[in-house]
Amino acid sequence: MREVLRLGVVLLVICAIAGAVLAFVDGITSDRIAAQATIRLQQALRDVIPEADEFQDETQELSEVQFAVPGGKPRFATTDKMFTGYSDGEPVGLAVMCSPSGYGGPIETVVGVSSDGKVSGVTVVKHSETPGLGANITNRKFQMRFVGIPVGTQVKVKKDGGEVDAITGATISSRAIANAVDEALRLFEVVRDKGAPAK
Amino acid sequence: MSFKSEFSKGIIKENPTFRMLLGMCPTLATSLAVFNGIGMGLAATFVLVGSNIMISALRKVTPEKIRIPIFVVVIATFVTTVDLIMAAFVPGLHEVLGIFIPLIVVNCIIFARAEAFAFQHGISDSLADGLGMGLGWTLALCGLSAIRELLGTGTILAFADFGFPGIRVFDQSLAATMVILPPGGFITLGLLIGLLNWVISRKSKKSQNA
Repeated sequence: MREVLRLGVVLLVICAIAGAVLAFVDGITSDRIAAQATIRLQQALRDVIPEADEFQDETQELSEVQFAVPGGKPRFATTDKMFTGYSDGEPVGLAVMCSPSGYGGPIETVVGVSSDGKVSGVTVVKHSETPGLGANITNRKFQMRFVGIPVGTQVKVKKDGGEVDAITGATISSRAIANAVDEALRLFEVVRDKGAPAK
Repeated sequence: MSFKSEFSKGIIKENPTFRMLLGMCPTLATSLAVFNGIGMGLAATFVLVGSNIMISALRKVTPEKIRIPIFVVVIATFVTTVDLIMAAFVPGLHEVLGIFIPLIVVNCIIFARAEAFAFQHGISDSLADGLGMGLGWTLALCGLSAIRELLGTGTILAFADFGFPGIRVFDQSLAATMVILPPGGFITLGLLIGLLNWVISRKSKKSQNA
């Protein structure tokens, strides 16, 4: 009995110390980690709409669009956030943040569509794709394959009958990015036809 | 044993990957490109050294019967701390290595060294053991991933996260994608283990005859 108590107390003390260490580390890092996420998002927005100098969060409006059909399934289900980019107060494009499913989980992607209805940039904020294969979606050269695609195009990889070259050995990851771009273009169309700021 | 021999045994004689066949799962999963190998190797080495030191320091107060749960708590605390600190202070590096950190937790090399070495040895020996084993594992990963990256993609030293496409050695159309896929990993690893065993057994036969 005494032995069991002794073992229990030792384990309790070690776990309590570990817990205290983790609480302390979390205390000094959580604010910085949250700030890093904001910086990364701002950086991504600037990457996809280079000419914009200011971004307005339009996510409120996104939920209206998603549930526009009463009783219907939500449209644009993988889209999380939406921003309008402004340059000197004039709207210059729409940045859409979606998380399509890749090979290793959701891929947080930001797609920019400029006001003339063409893809202006694609960037990956967060992913857990296979290093060396699917992780190549972070490659600029791959992301540039989507730039310039106009609204109204069905964006697909070549294997699915589309125009975009997938990364060798990473069709699923490439397809996820194609889906994100496709969704962003369709969302752009809906927002434009509603007469929202991103004309 | 001295500090030096505790350090050097992990590199070839008791190499965790090729000689002890530990940590096969993260080895196969991450040995796709040389930079992955370096990243995973360094991250695991750091945790290995830290957990070895902690477990060695705690060995006098750790009751034999509950050592396993205590190892788990120490290693998990260490990995989580490293993860959070990297995310907060070196976000660029964290983005590159972040994917390997969950893999460190399941890396049985760290657990094996805690159980087989750090629990029975002093702090400085455990430090040497951690460094040597970590370096041996890093070298093994680099060797394996260099072969797989070169044969599988035709390039070497590609670093996608920093936008560096690598040095192209031969054309993509000549590359055998199979080498970079899981079956190629098993085959390459098996051949390398066989090669190293052959070299070592030849060497020991020679020294016996002499």
